[in-house]
Amino acid sequence: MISVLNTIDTGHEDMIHDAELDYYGLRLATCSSDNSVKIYDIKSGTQTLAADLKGHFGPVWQVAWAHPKYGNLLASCSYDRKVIIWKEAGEWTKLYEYTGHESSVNSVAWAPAEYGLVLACCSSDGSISIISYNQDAANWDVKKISGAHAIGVNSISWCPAISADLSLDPLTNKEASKRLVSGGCDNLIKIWKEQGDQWVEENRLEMHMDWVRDVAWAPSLGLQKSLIASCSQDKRVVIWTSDDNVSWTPTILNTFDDVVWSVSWSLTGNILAISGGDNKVSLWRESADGQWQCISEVSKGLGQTSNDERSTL
Amino acid sequence: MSVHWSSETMKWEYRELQATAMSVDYSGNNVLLAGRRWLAIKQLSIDDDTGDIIKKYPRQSKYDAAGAEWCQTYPGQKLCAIASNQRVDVYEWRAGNDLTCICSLKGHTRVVSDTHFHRQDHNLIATCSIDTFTHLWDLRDSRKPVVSLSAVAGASQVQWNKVASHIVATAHDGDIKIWDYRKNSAPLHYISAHLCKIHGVDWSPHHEYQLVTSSHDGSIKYFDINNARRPENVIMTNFPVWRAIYTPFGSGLLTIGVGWGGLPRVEQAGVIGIWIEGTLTHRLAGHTDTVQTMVWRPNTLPSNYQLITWGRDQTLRIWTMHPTLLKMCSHFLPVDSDSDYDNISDGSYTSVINSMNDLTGNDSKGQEILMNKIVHKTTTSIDEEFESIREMANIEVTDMNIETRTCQIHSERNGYTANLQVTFPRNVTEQTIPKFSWLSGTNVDSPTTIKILQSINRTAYRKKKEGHRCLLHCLKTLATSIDEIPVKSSDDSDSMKSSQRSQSESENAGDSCIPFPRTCSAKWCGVSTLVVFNRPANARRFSLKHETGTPRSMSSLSLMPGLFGSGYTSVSPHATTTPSPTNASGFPQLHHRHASNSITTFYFQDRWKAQSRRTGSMRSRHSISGLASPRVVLYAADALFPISRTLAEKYIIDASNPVDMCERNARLLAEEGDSEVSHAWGLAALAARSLGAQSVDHLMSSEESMGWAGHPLCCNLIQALVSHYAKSSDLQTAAMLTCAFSVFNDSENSSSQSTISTSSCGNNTSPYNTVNQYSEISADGWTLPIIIRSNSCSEAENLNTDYSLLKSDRSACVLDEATVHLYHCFKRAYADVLHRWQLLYKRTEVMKLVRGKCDTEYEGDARWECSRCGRGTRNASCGACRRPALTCAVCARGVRGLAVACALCTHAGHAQHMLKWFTQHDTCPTGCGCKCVMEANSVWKGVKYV
Repeated sequence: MISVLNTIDTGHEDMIHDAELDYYGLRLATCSSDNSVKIYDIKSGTQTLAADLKGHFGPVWQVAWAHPKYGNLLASCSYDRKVIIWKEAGEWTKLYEYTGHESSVNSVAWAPAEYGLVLACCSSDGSISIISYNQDAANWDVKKISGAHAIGVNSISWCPAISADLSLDPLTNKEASKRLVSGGCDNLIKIWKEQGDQWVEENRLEMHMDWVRDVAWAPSLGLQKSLIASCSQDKRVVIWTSDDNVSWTPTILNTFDDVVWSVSWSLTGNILAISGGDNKVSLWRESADGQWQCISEVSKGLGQTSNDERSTL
Repeated sequence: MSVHWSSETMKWEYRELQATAMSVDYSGNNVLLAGRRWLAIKQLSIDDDTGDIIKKYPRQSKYDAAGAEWCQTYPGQKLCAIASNQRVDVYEWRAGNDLTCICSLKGHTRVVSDTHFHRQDHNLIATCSIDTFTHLWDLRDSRKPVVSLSAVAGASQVQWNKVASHIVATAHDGDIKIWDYRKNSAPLHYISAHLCKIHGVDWSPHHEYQLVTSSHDGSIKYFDINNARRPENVIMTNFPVWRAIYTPFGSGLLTIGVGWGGLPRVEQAGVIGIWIEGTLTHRLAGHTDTVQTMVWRPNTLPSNYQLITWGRDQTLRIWTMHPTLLKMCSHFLPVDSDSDYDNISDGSYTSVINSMNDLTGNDSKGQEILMNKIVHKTTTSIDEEFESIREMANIEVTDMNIETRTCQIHSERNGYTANLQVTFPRNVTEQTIPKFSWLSGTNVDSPTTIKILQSINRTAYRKKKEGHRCLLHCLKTLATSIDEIPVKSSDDSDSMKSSQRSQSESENAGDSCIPFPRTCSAKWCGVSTLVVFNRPANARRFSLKHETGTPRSMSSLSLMPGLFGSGYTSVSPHATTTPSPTNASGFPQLHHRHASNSITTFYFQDRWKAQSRRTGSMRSRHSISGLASPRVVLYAADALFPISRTLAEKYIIDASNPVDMCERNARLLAEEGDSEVSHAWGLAALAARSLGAQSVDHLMSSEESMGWAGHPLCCNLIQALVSHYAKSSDLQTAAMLTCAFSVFNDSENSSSQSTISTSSCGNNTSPYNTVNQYSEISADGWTLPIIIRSNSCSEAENLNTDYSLLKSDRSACVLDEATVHLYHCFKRAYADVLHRWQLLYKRTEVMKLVRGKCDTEYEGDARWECSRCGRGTRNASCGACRRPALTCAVCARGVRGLAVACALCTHAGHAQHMLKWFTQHDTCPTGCGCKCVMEANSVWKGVKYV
């Protein structure tokens, strides 16, 4: 069902912490504990190193590509408390460096392209920053949510613009509110809503019993409801559903053998990819009767699959 | 720029002694030279440089003296320690001529690398050795050390803090440990300072928490031990640095380079560098070989600091510090009328002045004082000084000792604490000012402490010159200075507190808040690609005793026992600092390497162990990770999703003719072999036909049409189909069906408006015309306004006119607003998928059918002035002249269709013509002189996200 498209030898000198393809799926960005970010051009089974970005002085935790209508922009966040926005104009250069956090920046996420060039990032200092590019003044505005989560914020995700629109009553003819979801060390998931020029806490979701490691807002189409997946140190993955983006109902998807590190929704079809400390990746889908089922799993080290190019999940 | 400066006042050469170590005693008048054969004490006297008084004592030893040191306290000034091999011998120099060994300290099992007498207690001496131990001995009971500080790596340096009497620093390879000897189980602080061996450590004479390290890696780093994650300052030299010591005055630094052998600039050996504020400003040249030891001569006048050095060239030299240098270091300089510059050659002096003119701007006060001085010579005794002290606000005399001629002052104001010790010299002359030094507990930052000292010294000097008692005035100065320090904001004081007390704990807490790095992840990217990476199969997790799952925070990385020998876990003060200098020579940001090493170590501890056995060799990052570089695997998961790119390419979007569209798509899917969806399209075609037929009926009989509208084959069927495919997550089919019926969907919307307003309505419903295709193609994401609406634009307008016919039969199929909205969302989502597939034309066709509201997104619009009447227009033709608004610069005809305009000179033309023109020319075809191709590009740069 699933075939290997490409195996990329990243050449990183240490473990990698994140990898993401750009909007078109033509380039791969990876980041690593060796403090570097690398960009590869991916073409049908081959890859070429396009750039090796050095600017962080600590392990780089996450990378994120912006929508291509803003150019080739990549954001990266690191243990060194910085967020760097890289831009390709001929060659890759630093476009902007954000140093407003006092501890490791754990996650970055670009807002839906409809909202303009806006980046959210969150840090172990407990705060969330929303950095937006002001086109007229040609500078970056920063709004900070201080004390978003006690101890630290581990993950952040935007409500997709279309999901936001879906929940909107079309007759009121209003702009849909921008929303963010964040997960932190206080075992909470919080939903933030932009009101005026402020970000206010709209909801807090309590279910997890340990640090929340990752949250993901699904681009859920066709279901006419919003979905958020969250995973935690407590080895559980929880799916939160809402009809109006205001009240949320939790469902425990599964309890795993080890800590769960990441959750990711597919663009369409609401398939959830889950991975964790046990080195395993699994894919989940909601069946017609509302049960979440594992549809695919991979357990062995993927570093070994190079000899077995046709291996399937 | 540095001034080459030879200012040695005296030089003696003692080849026969073969001394390897040198020390100057408390009085500053006796120099001990220790070698394998001889111990020698040389008496220094400035007045008499011909008299070479030296006493030699034979010493028979197989080993060189690794270190020699005088005790620097008054009661212990006759004591000196000689370190040799594994032993430290303590000698007493009795009656000025008898050097007797009073005890031998035996306890180290390897060569002793350094000794250091306690700065106050002459019975206490610290010794360190490469056997990893640092012992503290009480000379009254020398059989075994009173305290032993244990480390993992051998110690090369031991230094008592100059301010706080219980703090001692030791250097181990590239790391520094700070100990409180009262708590000997673990160091207070652990500083991962350098990549290579640390040769020298020196505590700041002014500040309790500051020290400077010099290393073989060529760098000199200033640390605040309370915030040791990163050095406060780094000086990079291009040679290994043997010693870096603070100047007792101001903020300067003296360095000795080492290891010139093999380097071309051998003649540079023996040069002592003087650094002020991070730049090498002076070099003391004279020694012809490497300088082994340099010490500040104790008990010199503040105006006359002297440096004593011993070099491998077997010469002992004394250097004086030039007054301009002292000034540069922000040191208050009492200016004597009889100060002589004789020692310095004129040429070099002027060069010093010239080079430093800009830095000496702040000495004007000193000169004023000089002019106003009144000379009264009356003697004041120590008793009078102490008696003069009256009660003052903010000043508290905590200790006063006539015996030792010292008093201690405590002052507190605005959250600042200053503890000052005043020492009156023994051989007091009328104009000798007391010595001021800071004691522990002072929390004023070091630049300020230097400034305060400067003003106190200035006051003292002025008062002495006038023949008054100075102490009272000095204390007044101190009180005012403390008052004048800007008040800290509450944040600052909080952070100050934390830095004072629990920095190391908070650092721990910092890492304990950072989630454990993830090393395995799967992320959906694009439409159906799964990006996966995880650890290679050979990675095994380090098993922790008390934890079964994967740890949650990065601080867990420090809890790996057994890796670094027993005892490390207990001494590790902060989590991520792995102790040994691993990997990456030339990898400058040392303080950040911890986490990365640790995470690798966590999973590849076998490799780590193997690696750490290979001590001495340079380790590269590649060998440390040893494993193949991490892989990322991309999986194509197209089969999981019912959408298909090939189908998207073939689908026909023709909203103007829904029946035809449905039928053709049904045939298409039948060819593709998807009978189910093909059937759905067939049903849709039926529905479309009934709706279409009804519109014809509508013209004839409204009653019939009402009947058809309620027929299940109309709206309900379509709605059922769309929602079925949406629920089964087939966005493609759902969105395409809504495309086919978007005309009907929109009827509700247009019904509220006049049915005649077709073209404006058309503009609303299709904000996306073909211009946007070009804009998306442009690599920068910059929608290029140069490309003007093409012919297809007018086609779009034609389409809209067609709609108007259909839209009039709005009653045919009325969807509620929510459903219409939902369908538009489907179309937008599908357009996004098409965009990711780079099917830009298909995307545009879909987006045309999406209801407005996204106008803000459409930024690539162009306006221009009509070439005849000058009115602005957005259309291809001018509304007033009814002619094409643009005139081609090449063929001089009106432009319809694609046009290109220069952003700078605004001349435009047919795209074809312009492209052809610019293949051969680079200037504008109108002859306006604009170099359109080059200059127009530069106009766009810097406009948006460039």
